[in-house]
Amino acid sequence: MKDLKHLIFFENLLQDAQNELVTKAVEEGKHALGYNCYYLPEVLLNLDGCFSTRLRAPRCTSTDVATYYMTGRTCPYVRSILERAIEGGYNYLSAVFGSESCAAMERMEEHLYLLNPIKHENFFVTIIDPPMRGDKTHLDYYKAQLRKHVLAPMEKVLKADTSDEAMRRAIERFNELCEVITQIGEFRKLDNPPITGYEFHVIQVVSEVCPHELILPYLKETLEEIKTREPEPSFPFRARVVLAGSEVDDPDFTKLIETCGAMVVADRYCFGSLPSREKIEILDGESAFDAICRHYLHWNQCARFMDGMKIDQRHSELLRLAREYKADGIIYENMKFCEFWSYEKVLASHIMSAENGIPCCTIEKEYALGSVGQLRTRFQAFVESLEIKKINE
Amino acid sequence: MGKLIGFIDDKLKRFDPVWRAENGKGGQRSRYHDVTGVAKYREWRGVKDTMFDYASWLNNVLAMVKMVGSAPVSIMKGFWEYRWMGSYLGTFMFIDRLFEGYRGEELRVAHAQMHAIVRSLTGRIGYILSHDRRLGASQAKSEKLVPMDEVLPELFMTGFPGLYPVPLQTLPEFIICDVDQHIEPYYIDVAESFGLPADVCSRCAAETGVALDDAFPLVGKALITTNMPCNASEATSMFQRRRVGLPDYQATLAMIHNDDELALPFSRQIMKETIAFVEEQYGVKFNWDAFFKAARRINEQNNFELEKWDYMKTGYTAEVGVSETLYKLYEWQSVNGADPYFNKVDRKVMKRLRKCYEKKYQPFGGKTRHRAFLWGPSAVYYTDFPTWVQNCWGIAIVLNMDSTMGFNMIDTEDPDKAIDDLARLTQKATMRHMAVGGWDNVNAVWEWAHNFNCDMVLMNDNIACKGMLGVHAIMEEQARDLGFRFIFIEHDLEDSRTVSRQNMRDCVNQYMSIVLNEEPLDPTLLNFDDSDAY
Repeated sequence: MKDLKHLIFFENLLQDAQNELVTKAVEEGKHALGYNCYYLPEVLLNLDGCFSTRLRAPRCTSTDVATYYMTGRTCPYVRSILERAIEGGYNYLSAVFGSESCAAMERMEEHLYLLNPIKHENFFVTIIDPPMRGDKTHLDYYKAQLRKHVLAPMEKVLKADTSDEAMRRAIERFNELCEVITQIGEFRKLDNPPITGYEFHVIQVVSEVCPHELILPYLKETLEEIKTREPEPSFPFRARVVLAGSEVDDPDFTKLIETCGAMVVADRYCFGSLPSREKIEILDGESAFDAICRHYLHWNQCARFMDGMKIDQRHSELLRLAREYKADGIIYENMKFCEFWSYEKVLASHIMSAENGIPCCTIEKEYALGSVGQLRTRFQAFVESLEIKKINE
Repeated sequence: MGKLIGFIDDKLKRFDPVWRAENGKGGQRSRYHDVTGVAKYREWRGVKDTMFDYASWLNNVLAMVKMVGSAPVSIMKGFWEYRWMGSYLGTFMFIDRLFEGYRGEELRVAHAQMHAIVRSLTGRIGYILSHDRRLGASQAKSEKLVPMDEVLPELFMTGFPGLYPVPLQTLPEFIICDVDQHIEPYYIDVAESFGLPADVCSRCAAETGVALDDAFPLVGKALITTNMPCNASEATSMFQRRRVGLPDYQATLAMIHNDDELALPFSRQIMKETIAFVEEQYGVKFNWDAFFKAARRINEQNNFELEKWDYMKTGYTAEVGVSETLYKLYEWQSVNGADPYFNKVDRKVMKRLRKCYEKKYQPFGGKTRHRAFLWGPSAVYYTDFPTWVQNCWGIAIVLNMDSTMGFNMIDTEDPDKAIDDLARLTQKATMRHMAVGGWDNVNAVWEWAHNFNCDMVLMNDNIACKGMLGVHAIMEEQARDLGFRFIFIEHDLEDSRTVSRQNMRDCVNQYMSIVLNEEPLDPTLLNFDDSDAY
């Protein structure tokens, strides 16, 4: 396939947390608001005068200082974020909106106010206690948490307009972005898609880390380009897989899988688009805020949810993705030391393979892409097993 | 009589390990076979204390006999069905080890409290096994029992006097791992052979293994799980609910629970829903009168606890070390107002403690050199660690993190106020109140240590506890800034293969000898092999 016009530009945007679009927006006087987790509605951080940027620590090669603070036995993602903060890599942020999604993440967010490494005027950290079930009791709790820990400081410190009208405008902008990403992502359903999993991963991550209004024109142009892009004469991969699990913000991980012969056709992991790029619908008589909370609680597929309804949802959702994207198998990954995905990976891969007949490969990974040789061997073996299965069928 | 006893004590003092350690003729470890930890003979503590200790030992044996007598067939089937049942045979060796070096008043307090635990636990084992469908109990008989997560305090269940709450993990995991360091690695291996990574909390891995091994008693008609204390515990609930296969309710209390404005209304609602779930599943109504009766017991216990703390702050107390820790843990977490016998024991113990304070009694012959607060989740495969640090280095564990669990009073008249109090109490459960839920909770240790006049903080460093690992250096820096002696004690909670008991001892040994330049009270306790012991 012909290279995408903006791919190198997008790749360059992912080389630094403070990329050129982030810098531009900050220079224009907008507040850059960092967040780590889907529990923090991205749309709320994009009210007028603010923009969201999901925290990454690209090109992080050492977490020595963060390891001193949090030991080497905690999630490498959160240590990398802390390390980058201590290095001064997030000084453009006006605030970090955290979530007690897991203990490691919450501890890292605490360090951001205990050590105060982010040097920005009036910088603050706020942490929500996110819901663990999908019912009304938890929806109400979620709303109360977001009001107190997100909207209130945005209003008070950042002077953001948090009115219903402002939220509706934010939803409108957000939906426009989601529409573009979703349309691009849908091409992966085709038998011979005009886009690779790696390219989509790059596009999805730039949409999360860059100011929406600055990245959107490039994404729209890319969508138009893909519509007329000539795919390879025949499907160039040996298998199609869904990648599911914990945090993956490095498209090179997707590239690694694809160089082993399996196209990543669906991205159901933290930082992925499934979920995160579903449009928010406001029901009749519903406030914009209520719609946002309902939307995020419904779509959230975090392994942290304990109730049967949400557990079943995350399994059925994965089955749906495997079916709709015609996947031959599922690769479950978890960040090393991630308790939730360590458990979910084991249980879900059993359910998917033993009860639903979908082959699964489960791996554990570091944040910075290391041990590539070992992973490559695992992926190659998995791809071979998928091929053999096809032959036997 | 007193003279005769004094004469015998003087003649036989050479058998007393404390005397032997003081006089360079051996010590506590001399009476054990190496590696297996089997004692060659019982500890000689002087005539009175030895007789009292032995009588207490017999009293515990009697409780065990009663347990077998209460349901002989079920108990025998239980031994056949469940690997963990065999470990309970180590209870007596376990108790002996816990109270090594205990004399006089502290020995009497320790045994009074330990017998309450043995009495309650043996009764519970007999009852649960006799209602276990896996062992042949009928569905109807079994359905009076309500299996629930062990970390969810049971007080709310006292409002259902016709039902019997079963902290599901207690028998196969939560308590037995205290007794036998070799039982949980088996279940951990079961979980890991299913694919669970080895870096998750070993307690939760063990619970997962128990679930996969079908080693939970099969009782009740609906299950209550909880998000307490931590991430791994939440995650293992997925396995348990699936394997147990009963309708379930997840009592997900606020994780960041100190915020009354948001957390309390939420946790209150969760408690209401939990009660409604039991009502619906078991077809019974919540009985407020029964609840208030139990709440009064909890209030009495909490009042006693606050009074005890005042004595503990002075050092003139006979309740110290592991006896305090275990009793509080069991009384609060596993009984939680349900058994009046514990109040009876508390009243007796309080009388003794008041007298000890009046006469300025110092435990362990006044040999305490350091007063330490034990913080973080403790290694359950080394329950007698507080006893060891006292006997080896003269470090008294004044209070344990888990002893700071919810101690608020419960309203005993107004259901609305009572449910708020219940929510506050419930969300401050074991390993949970201080270990997770925000920096302020873990950072509270310094104030506790200061208030209890401690010069030292021993930080249990569970190598897989993500909540505590995340504040490692900050805690160390705080200790330095505030002038506390501070030791990280690495352990793997329920897996003694990863960090052995000797590895744990070495953490203390090195600090005490290298940093503080102190000599041990009992050199036989410095280095020994107890790797095959219970």
